[in-house]
Amino acid sequence: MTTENIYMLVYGVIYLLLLAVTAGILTVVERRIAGRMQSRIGPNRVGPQGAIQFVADVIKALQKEDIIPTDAYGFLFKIAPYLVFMGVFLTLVPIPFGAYVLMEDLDLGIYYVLAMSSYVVIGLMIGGWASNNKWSLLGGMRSAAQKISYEIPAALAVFIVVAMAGSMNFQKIVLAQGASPVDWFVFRNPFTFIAFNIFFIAALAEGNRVPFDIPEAESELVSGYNTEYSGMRFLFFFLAEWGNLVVIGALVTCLFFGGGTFWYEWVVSIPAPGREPLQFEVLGFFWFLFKTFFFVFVIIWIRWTLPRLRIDQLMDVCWKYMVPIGLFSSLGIVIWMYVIPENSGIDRVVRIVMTSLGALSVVYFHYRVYRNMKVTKAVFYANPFV
Amino acid sequence: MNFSITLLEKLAQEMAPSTSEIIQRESKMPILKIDAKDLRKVMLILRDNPVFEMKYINNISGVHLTAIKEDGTLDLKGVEVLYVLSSKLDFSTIAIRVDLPEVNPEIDTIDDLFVSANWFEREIYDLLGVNFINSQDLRRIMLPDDWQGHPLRRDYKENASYNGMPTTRPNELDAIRVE
Amino acid sequence: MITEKDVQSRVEITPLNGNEILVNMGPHHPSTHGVIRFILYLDGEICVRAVPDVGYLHRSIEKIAEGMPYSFFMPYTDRVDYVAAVNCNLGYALAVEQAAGLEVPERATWLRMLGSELNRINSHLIGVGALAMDVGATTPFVHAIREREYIMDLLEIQTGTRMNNNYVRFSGVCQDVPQDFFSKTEKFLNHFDLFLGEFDRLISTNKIFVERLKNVGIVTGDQALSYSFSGPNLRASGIGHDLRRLDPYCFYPDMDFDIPQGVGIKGTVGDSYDRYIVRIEEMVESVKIIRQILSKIKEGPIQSKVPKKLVLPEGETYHRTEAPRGELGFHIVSDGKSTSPYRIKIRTGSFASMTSLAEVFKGMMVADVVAYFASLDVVAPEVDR
Repeated sequence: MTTENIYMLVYGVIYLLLLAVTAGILTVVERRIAGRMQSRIGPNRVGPQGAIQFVADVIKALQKEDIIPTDAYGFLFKIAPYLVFMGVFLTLVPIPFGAYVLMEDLDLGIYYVLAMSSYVVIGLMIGGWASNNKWSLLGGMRSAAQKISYEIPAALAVFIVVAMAGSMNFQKIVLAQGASPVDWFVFRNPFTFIAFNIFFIAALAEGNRVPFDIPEAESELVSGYNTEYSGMRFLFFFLAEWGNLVVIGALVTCLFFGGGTFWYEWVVSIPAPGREPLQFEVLGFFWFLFKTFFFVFVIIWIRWTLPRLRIDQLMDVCWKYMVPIGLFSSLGIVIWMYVIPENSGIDRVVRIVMTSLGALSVVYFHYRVYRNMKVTKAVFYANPFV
Repeated sequence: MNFSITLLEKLAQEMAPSTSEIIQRESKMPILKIDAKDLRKVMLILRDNPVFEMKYINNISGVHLTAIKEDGTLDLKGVEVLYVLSSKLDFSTIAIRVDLPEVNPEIDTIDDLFVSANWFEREIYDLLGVNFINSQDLRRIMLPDDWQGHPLRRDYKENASYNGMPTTRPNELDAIRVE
Repeated sequence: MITEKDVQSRVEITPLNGNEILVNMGPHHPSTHGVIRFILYLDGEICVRAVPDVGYLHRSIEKIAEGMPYSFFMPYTDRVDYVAAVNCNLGYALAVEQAAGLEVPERATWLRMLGSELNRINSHLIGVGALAMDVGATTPFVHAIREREYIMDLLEIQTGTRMNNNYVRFSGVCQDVPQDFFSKTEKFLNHFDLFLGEFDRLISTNKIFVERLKNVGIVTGDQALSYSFSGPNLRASGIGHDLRRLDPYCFYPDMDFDIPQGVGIKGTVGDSYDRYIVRIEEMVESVKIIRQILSKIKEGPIQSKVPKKLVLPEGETYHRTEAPRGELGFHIVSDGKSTSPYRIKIRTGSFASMTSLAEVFKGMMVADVVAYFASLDVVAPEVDR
């Protein structure tokens, strides 16, 4: 055991703990947000504003009887949650939280992430089958079909980003973008904007979130592959799902929103390219976290608003709409990069037009909210901590 | 429009050779009483004849008819089945009654003419013991499949236990009751 | 309890082919429709055959009625449909009053109608909210429940309880309303109009919601009649029968309201989306009716004299009212001598809606099965009584 290995082990353990705690706090945050959207308060008893509710849930789950159905296939039943959790946790390895805050700087960055997220498929199928329950089997089958289908649009969107950035390394993708919205990949050209939409929707489907949560649909399958799990095993599935939210947020931020880069060059002169003073690295870290959790909030918001798609509609969306659009966009991005050189006049104009369209849509959204509130004479509670 | 006697008289004319009788003339619901063997004929007339066009079943219910004899015991007089149908056009309604004998009450089914009749008939079979001949699916509906007896009958006595579970409970107040 | 052997023995059925699995959508549903069980034969995702199994909530209230005087039976009618209790009370009271020839004072009729329409809004909110929840959106259900809280506060002032009201008596109602009740109702109605607009913007036009419900479980007008659908289900299939117009009772002939029909806005006539939209529009109509009631109600007595021992004349009668779930019919048989009914049979709209399931479920996917069943707005106590 060299000191290298010990350092890596310690990093791994720290990341694991941080991810687990973050996923736990996210469950509480989601329940509070859901409560406020439904005119009620979420959990607010345990700890300040209910923040350590997840600790109470974990303690309760640890005390429960470990129920394994009689005819369930024991070994597979037990390892399924760990496989799912492993699939989610391993994707965190190359993602840079800010500059140089990452476990391992892999040159295969994004490719490795896509590969590791396939572990989840195995875990879900095993969990569904080993439960010896027809409903779980149905849920596991549907879930497997959904996940492997949606990896293709996700990979197409990633191809577009990799083509623009020229590398699969996360640090290089981030450095190819800049700090201001004009430099973000999402506003570079129409094809990357399409790629952002495709990637976001595909990532929602990969994470089994509404509107794609048919595998865990409550009213049909009583929780699908989760049904026979109780206690801590069930919480592992939960942990994996909410940890996946953080991963999706981080991926979207890195790939499309210039995650972690900060306006260094406006403030101080940089001694060497790519090596910023420490205080800016810390600022970059928090800026990255802010963007990530903004996307997590958007995902939670979507979950509590939209109904869910039926399985054949889900498959239609993937194969009939997203894959053709993805293929068309990847062709488009290659042609675009060939025709229009970097930083030329047209490129700048397109970037500024797209950024302003983005800003305008944000303003329009706020206007619509304001108008809705006026029409329904709603009372605006500005304080989320009631 | 609703429950009018003219409709009943028209129906009695249409089913010409078969006999029928109009009872309860002056009440809000006059009823046409027919024999059990004419049921399908009448139902086909009601459903297909453009004068009636009664495609909607309001209700099919059964009543166990009894009378009290002079010495106080129960005299079982058979089962009555009442059919109430409504018309598609103007919702005019008609009520038809069939009286069935006490022993082995059975009657033709109409669930190939009207889809919903099956569930109504199953309920009457379950609770009153009427057999519907040629029914597509005659099972008990409210009670478990291995229940014995037909509860809505006036002479129904419950079994002491069902699948090992006793059907009566000792009254806790008996222990402290002061006689 | 029905087992697979029973199903296969009495019902002519194809035995399980190679691909089919037998799944049990058991009495414990996460859907909020009560204890109803389906046995589904699934071929992959498609339901090949369905056998509904009811009776888990059978409380034999019809047998209980034979042992008690007429007025004692009123609380049992609450429990026939606990979501819309005043409507069921009203149906029973009207049936007995029609048979016995009792008179009802005017104010009592207005109050009955007011309670009835408030309960109709109540019931439709649950129906629509449960449909949204079964399709996947949880928030509209909670918003609908929040609105129900206001209505139940109003009902508590009017009838004394929030649920299982036991409000209507023969020839009247049980208690009068205080002075400020009408202003509170007016305030609620003004708020409720805005809520319905918000609800529509939230979910009625949402593309995913429409796609889930359109062209699912299409029931044409003739099929609906043969299934004995009534109420909103029948009107959504294109046949505009409303018992408040066709067989009027109380002061409904004086009220000015439309009868919403399904016109296939987003799909075909008679699909699940039509059943949903008809319920939303009926809530708007109920608000209209309540406003007219508030403008027309006068002072007066709320209960007339009823004989202590009420004996109905010999014979049988069948009376129908329009409950939120369809036609609520009471078939009362009396032997002319005793103070208790000889036989009461309650015909509910949910029972008739269940008759359509075995046919309509064939060829549908499991998700559509749930959506169609939720759009029928069935409650288990109405089916089993």
